[in-house]
Amino acid sequence: MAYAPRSDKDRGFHANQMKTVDHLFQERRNHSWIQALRIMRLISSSSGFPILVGLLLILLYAGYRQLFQLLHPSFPINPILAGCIAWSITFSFFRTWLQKPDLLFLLPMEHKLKPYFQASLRYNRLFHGFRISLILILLYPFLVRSLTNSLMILLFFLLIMGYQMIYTRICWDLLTVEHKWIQWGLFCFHFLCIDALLEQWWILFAFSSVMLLVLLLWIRRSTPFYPWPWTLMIHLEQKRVSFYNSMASWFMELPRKKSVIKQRKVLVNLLRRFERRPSVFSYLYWRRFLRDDEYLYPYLRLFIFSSVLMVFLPNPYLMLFLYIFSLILTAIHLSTLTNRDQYPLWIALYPKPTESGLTQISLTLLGLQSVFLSVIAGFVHSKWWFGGGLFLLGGLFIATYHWFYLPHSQQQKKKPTGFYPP
Amino acid sequence: MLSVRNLTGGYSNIPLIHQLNFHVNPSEMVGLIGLNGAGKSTTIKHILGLLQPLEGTITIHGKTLEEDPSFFRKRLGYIPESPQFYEELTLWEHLALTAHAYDLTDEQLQERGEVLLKLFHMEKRRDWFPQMMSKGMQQKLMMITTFLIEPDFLLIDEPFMGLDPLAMQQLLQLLEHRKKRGTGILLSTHILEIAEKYCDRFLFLHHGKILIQGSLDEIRTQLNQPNSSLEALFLAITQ
Repeated sequence: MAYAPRSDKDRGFHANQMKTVDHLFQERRNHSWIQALRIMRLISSSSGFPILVGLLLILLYAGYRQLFQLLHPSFPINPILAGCIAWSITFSFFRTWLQKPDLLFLLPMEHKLKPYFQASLRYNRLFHGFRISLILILLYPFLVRSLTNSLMILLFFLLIMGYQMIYTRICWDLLTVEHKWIQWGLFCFHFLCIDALLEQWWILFAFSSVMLLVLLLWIRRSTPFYPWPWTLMIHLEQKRVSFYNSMASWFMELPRKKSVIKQRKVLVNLLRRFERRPSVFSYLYWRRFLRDDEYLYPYLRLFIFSSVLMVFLPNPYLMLFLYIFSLILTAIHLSTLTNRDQYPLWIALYPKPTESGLTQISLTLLGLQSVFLSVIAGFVHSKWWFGGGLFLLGGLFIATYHWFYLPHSQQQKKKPTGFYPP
Repeated sequence: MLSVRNLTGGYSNIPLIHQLNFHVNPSEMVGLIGLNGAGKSTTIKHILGLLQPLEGTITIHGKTLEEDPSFFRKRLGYIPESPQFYEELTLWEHLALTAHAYDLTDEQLQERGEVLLKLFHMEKRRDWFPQMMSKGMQQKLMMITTFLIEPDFLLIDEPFMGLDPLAMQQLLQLLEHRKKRGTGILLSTHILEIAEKYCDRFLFLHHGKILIQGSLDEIRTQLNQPNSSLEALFLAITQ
């Protein structure tokens, strides 16, 4: 039987409950932003960080200017611009701040949660509006070159911003439409529309806009109002939080959040081919690194990010900075593999010391990174002595890391014999 | 022999167990019996070296953990109360890691691992990750990992939670088998019928102190209750 308030006290309880649900999103959003700001404040107050960021920004700005000047007027900049903008619109994420316990506490009240999700939609619209405008401002020098007319630039800005507002609503629908190909289809149409607009090919623009509209309408119509995809939303939220945490953990140690473990059979099989009776902790750390998104993805991202920046911003000082900076970040990130709180207590019971395990994995991964980036730098700079010099510098860095930093950091992490916190 | 002398300890300098004195002989199963919060798990954690004693010594064959950590740890196996596992390792990789840690050869790993997987009906789950398993299976994973190393002494904390009757029976048979082969076992449990049937001696722990210890007959004599069951004796003491 449905529960009905029988007294004033009951009615008061109901009103309070509704009020709580209404404000729940705001509370969670505020809490999350306060946490994020606190972390940013802690990072920015750490020694040397502001100088590092300042230096990086100056070098990026110099590289950006150099790239802009280097590009030949005949270079097809429009498809690249269209690709960047289409990518950032299509793969917008939808924040809900849902948590696992919500399946127990909020799911039964699903019918009363419309205000929660409406607030979430408003927030996401605002956030993505801000995000896309930031991207457009960054791309402004290229847009000026591409569109020339200031009225056209303004119209382009307004059109993209307006579309982002509409598309954020579609992102919500896309949560229930699980086919990956739809997102890729949307990306293609976004790319076509934006490219046609930049090239001012009006017939193609009109055609692709109509096609896009049809696809959006189909998505809207094929999305059921209920049930809401709770588990998927919670999963996406966890993924987003672990992404932010992994970014922050490059600069400071954060309490461990649950990360995503994947089988990655191909990578592990490849590892087995090279493994010859590994030490116990090397065996563990390699698998943690390959299967845990929090380790593999930041490493790959850093690798790709540094390589791409080196190719597109071929300033030797920036390349040198990127090379050293990426090695430092990888080294710091890898040293977190030994944090005991991410493993079960067995690790404290093994009759083996933990120190030896990190050497092999860190030497291999840093070595790979240093060789690859040196080759890219030498290739881009067209002077092999430059690549060779970077490689030697990398070798020196790895040796310092291996002989000085690692033993020191492991010594600090070491607890009294056998002690393990309860 | 596993020997505990004058052990006082707890968390963060707050003593929860006081002046414990007992030992576990090879080929002997000792039941650690007590109410919730009596200090059973704390005692086990002290033996394992997960907590540092405020006072007292723990030795295995006369050596303490500080004297020879490798010797001490190689001789101890532990099955905890709640499943503990590496999220990033499959069942077989758990075994391989344990084999590396305890210096087992590849042949020993293969031979013992296959037997244990078969015994606990987990052969088809060798490439599964613990997250894909039920709680009972996770419990089996821990047991297989612990039995793989064939330690001199086994510390078992509430092992029967989450196990189906068949797995419970298999565990008990395996414990009997290990006992005959010379393993000393310290078993903490609330299931007193099982303890009565399988344990050779008992330690009754209450508020961190050993109230009484000995074989069932010795405890009956001390309490002057000649025909009482272990449960009746336990209730008589704690009430």
